[in-house]
Amino acid sequence: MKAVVRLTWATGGFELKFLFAGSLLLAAASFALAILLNANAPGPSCVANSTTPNCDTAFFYQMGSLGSQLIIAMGALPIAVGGVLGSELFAREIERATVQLPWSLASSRTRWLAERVLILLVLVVLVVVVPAVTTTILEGSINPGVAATDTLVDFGFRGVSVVARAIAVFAAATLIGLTIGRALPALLLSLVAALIIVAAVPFLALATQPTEFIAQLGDPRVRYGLVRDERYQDPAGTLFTIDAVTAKVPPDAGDPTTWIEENFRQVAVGVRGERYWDTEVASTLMLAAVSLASLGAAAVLVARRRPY
Amino acid sequence: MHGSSLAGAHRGPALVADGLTKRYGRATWALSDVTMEIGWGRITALVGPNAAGKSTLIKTWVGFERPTQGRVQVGGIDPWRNRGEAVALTAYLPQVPALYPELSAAEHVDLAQHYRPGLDRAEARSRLANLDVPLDRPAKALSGGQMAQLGLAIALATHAPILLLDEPMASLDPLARREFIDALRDGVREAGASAVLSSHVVSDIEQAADWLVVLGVGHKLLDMSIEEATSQHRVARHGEQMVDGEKAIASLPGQRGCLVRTESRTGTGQGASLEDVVMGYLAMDRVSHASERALTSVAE
Repeated sequence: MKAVVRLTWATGGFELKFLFAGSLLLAAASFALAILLNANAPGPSCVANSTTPNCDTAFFYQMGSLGSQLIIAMGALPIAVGGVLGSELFAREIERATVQLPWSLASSRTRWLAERVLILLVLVVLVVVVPAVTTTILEGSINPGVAATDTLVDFGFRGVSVVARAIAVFAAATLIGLTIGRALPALLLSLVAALIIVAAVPFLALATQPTEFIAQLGDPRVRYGLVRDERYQDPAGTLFTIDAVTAKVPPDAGDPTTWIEENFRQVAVGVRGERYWDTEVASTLMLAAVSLASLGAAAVLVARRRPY
Repeated sequence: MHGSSLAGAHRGPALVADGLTKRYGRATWALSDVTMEIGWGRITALVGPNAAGKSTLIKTWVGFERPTQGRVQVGGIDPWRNRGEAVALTAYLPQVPALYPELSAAEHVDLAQHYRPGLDRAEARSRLANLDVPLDRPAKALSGGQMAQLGLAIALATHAPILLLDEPMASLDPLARREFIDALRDGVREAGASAVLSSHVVSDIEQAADWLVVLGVGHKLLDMSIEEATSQHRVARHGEQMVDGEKAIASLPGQRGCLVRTESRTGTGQGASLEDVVMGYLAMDRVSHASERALTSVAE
């Protein structure tokens, strides 16, 4: 196995060093920002209402905004790590026809694939795990008083999701790299596949969660949960769409907007932030399914594929 | 395991192609109904023009290409149905050695031993050291000859009973070719292995092989020992009368005369060299292809 580890480092050393450096830079930046935010965190009353006297929160919110951008930038990491390590290394083996050496010697191509994938998976996890943790810490610092696991803000860009995404993108990219066998086209196609995975899976995972809160805009449940839709609620508690409310405006009401504001209150409906772990589990299961299906297809492919 | 015991250990010949047809896409025929057997303990030269299907034939035995029709066997095993067992019987060296540019020669040997645990690492290293191939230098810094020697050292150190070498000397200078041939002959003799060596260069074949298979474009033209190939062919002058039991094969290029197949060592003309034999059969194939094309165009 030492020889295969050496091969992985020798053939992917440049990419790995680059990815590790980027990962550590992002992790260090997010961790440093989390410390800065914790030191300048406003009190609970300021968070609830920033117009409270003696609440100088400008610096905190400015840094918090920077932190959110950092967390979103971290979303690119699993795409880069999985895409590059999955597609390029395997496609390059076929492009250069170097895979003829192991395939002409090894009694099992599946074992060859399993070993290469296992080593690369460990590296993928090592690259993303530290930023995944620091972004979770940063998320907690941006929203003082709310645990990062009690909010759906920046879901998918931090925590377990980052690792699961990187693995799924890696698995899909491995399949693409082995199928295409040309490094650059495989890399480009892998990035497209990664974007689809990264966009579709959180969407589907959040779709599995129940709509539980009806709250006015500005309510903490709206801030930390996922808003599915905005509705208008009458005093009896019935919800209406904007079209339904507009249809109810009497002809002699004057300004329709004023009439609506007087008779209805605007509310948001959505998923509570406390559903974070449920959503995380659903997302991870979906990403695991993508990973297993991709690697299974890759195993079938290598058994039948030409090594050039 | 040596040649005689290898034959006993595995059923049938070392390598079999039976009605082998290989087509790429819809219209490109690499091999058409090729049938041949290669016995144990021989170094067989596979000779043919470009696009004759030499590489394809070797790659079907390695299990890299799947026959479109027909079957191949390696030591009695179908490499597509039972790849693991078939791979264990073979070592393969492609035209351009499949080496990782970033890994050193020693690391290649270690990697090869990981995939083929029976590989004799000490033997491979010793062979490379004897040939002055630097063990610690990355493959990308080795010369073409050193890369070929590294590939051959790995192939020989597997002690596989069947070596499949696909034009491994194509890019080597004369000295490197000579060293390669010597290493191959010695290695095969020591191991009692069977080897198939495809090449364009007749002098290489003459030095390395004891059996000759000539492939035309996609089909077999000749399959016999090199000794028989030279003793059963003669070169007759144009217009010279042939005797009973002689058959004209084809005119040789350069006004050399006509290659004649004979059942005796004496007869019309003078003895044929291996080059004459190879050239004669390739010329015959070219003429028959030209005739086929002419007939096709007339029919159309």
